[in-house]
Amino acid sequence: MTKWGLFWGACLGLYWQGMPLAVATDASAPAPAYLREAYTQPLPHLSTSELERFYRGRQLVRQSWVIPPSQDSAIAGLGPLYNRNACIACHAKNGRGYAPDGPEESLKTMLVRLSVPGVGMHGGPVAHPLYGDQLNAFGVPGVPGEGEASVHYSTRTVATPLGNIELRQPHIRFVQPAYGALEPLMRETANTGANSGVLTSARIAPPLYGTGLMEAIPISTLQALAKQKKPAGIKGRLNTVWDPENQRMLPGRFGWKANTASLRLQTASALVGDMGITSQVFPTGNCGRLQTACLNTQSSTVELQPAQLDDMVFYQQALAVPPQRNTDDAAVIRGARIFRRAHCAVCHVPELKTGRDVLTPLTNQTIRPYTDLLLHDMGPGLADHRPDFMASGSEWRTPPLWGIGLARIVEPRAGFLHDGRARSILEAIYWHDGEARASRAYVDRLQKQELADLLAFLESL
Amino acid sequence: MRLIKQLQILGRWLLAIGIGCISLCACAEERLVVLTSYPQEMVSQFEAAFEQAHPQYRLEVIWRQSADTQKLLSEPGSGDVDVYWSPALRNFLQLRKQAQLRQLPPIDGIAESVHGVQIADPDHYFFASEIAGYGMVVNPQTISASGLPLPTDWQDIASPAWAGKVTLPIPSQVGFAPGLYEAILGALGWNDGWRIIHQMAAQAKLATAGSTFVTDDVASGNFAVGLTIDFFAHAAIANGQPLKFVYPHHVGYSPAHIGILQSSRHVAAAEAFVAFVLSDAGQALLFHPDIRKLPVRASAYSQAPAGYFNPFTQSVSTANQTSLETLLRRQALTSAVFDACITRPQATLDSMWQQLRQAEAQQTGASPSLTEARALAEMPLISEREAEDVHLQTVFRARRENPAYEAETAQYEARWNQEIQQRHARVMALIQQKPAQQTEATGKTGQLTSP
Repeated sequence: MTKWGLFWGACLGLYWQGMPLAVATDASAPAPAYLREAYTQPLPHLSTSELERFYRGRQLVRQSWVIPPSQDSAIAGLGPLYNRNACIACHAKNGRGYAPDGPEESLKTMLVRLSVPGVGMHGGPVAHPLYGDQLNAFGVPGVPGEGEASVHYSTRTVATPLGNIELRQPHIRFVQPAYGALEPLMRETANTGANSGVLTSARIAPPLYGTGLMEAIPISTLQALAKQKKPAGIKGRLNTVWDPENQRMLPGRFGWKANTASLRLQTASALVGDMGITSQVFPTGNCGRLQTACLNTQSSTVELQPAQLDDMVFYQQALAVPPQRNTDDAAVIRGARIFRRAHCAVCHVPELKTGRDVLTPLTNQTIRPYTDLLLHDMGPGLADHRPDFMASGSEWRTPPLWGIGLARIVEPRAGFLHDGRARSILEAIYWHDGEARASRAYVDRLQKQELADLLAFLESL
Repeated sequence: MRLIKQLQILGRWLLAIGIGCISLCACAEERLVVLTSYPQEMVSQFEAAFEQAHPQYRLEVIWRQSADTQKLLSEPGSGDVDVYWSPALRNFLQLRKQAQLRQLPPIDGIAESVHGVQIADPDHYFFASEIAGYGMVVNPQTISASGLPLPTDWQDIASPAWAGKVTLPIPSQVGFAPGLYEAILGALGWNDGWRIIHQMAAQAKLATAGSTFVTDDVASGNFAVGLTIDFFAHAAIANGQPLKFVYPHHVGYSPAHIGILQSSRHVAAAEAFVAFVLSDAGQALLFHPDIRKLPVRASAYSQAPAGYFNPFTQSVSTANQTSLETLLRRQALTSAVFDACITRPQATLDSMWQQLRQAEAQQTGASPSLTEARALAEMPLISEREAEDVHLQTVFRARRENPAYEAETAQYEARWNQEIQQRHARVMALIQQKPAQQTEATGKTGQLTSP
């Protein structure tokens, strides 16, 4: 382990073993400063050369990319259409993004997926004929940005034992679409139940840490989890998605609907989709087929060097997961028990084992990701009505919960659920429905202290 | 049925138009393009806060390294840029010279100088938006374990006790570093400054613009001290790294600036952004744990976290930096000199200094040869007078743009390389002379002297 790794290990270990619990029990006390970097640490036991590679990847993930032409050719390639110019613009400190609080605020760490009804060549969504599969607000000089999406909310108040909470349902509207109307009726995304017209889905940036460990979980484990008989009407199935690089179908495990098979594809897809940076995986850019100015500006050569993509992927693979804290705390112990009794752990599987991986620290590890990486129907309230490969409009991949208690220390506005509608873990719990209905019903019956204990446990992760 | 269907279609269109109008009313905004070289952590904070304060404007941030900016701004339409906001004084001076900046009205409460050091354009074509100070990031634990005192000024880390414990940035490769060495030379004077720089470099690891941060290297204990600029260290400290930052007695400052392009088509929005960046609210954003820069609005320090450095009350500035031009004029030349006498000969330099110090440690009496060797080893490669030569400064500053300058600087560098080689050879020869001279002085071993 490096000295730096030892330092962090010591800090997090100390915190874990009984330093004042700012996160779970006392929101007024400031959290220790080092926790702000909890998602940026390398795995222990990286070799010197691996650590150097980790730092090279970090530099690229932190890099603000440049519109070509530029004398900085190694970091040029932004556009012609893009949302943001750096990975960390959405994944601040490798954490999760957040939703705007209303229509006045632009989408800074959130994007809107677009498609039209139908099934694409490999079973995926059919991109919008004008705007492609993602709305890009910005364009390089000479290429108009596609317009903006604004988020409006309808709200309802829910009484909980810990007091009333406001649940907000987002509705996406498009403002000044630059390439013509998306459809005659600008339809709102949520709760319409419709499957005609343009299909949209708002997604906040997911956290980057722990993805290497998630990738190292054997497919056989996920298949076994899918086959396992589960209680309380819970099902769960693997998505099967297209790998454009290797031209084959594979189980999906990354993305809010598990629509991507590997971290490499996820990274290359985000680079081209969010920033317009082409790579050997996606060499053709993100222009819609009728966006002439964009197509005329698009570079004919691949913008990201293969080694750069490798380093960026390696960096994410080698990001450590912060350890659970306060495991001896009585409330945390009680909360863990409630978590299991409510069947939360059926989908948010606490413990899994990794298999063989090219990276030694990822190999044969017992990990605690609190996910099964499977798709579950989460009910109409969370549905986006936009199928994605095998995932239906109401199915979502179980998001991992490890590190979730630190989300708002790392990014004070961090959102929860796919579109960041939940501003707290408590709100996120109250959005659970569909296959999670029985679990929600269990939570509804909890006393005040029990609900506080459940939250204490989740905040300890 | 047909009528109902037609009415439904009409209704959908009317609703669409209605929603469109509502959306336009709620969200239509004026785009404002800001060009910067600031890191995303800083951009994100200002972007969110500005948008909240002025929801009628949408910020579009274009990122360029400072050296890559001039070309973009010299293109027709300046890449649609409205505001330039960057720690890149040279670019601002150039834009001002090319009449590409709009004159701004005076802004109350914004410092135009710090301790006599001018930081804003006297005619208000651009303002300083923040400053940063040069100094040393230190690992107190590593230093304590070494039995050394915490350094308080540049000279403190020049002694052999700090061998292997210091990391220095190479000024030609690390963006902020030319100003750092100018700060040392400004504080200590040309000759004494180079003496200290040579002594520090003799035992330090030189850092390039690589992928590791100096704060990583010092926090990990690989080094006890790193020469750097304050915000790197303060941000690392604010994020939990076990470090301290030491401002030397004379602090050299690096100002960043903001200005509006003459070609801006969104002047009102641009003015709003400049006003926001320089407001109390905008300046207070500089205290964010991921930013940690020094506001130029003195009143903003009332909102600063405890212990935050205040340049208006806590330091004296580097004495000879009195105008914006003097902050820059020598930097390229100084960096080239650094490369000639420290970066390129680093391998032989280490060995030479090791032997010199060893010889000095073993020396029992006065040794003119060792005194001469040390003076030679510490001597600036060029004199202060040469360094003030405007032509020499110009050719090094503009070498990349002018092939004739490039050729001339190449000649200088070849000559300097030769001179450094000769100097090192002479130092080594003087070190070797030591026993004979000592013998001559003491007369104890006459058989070694010539008959």
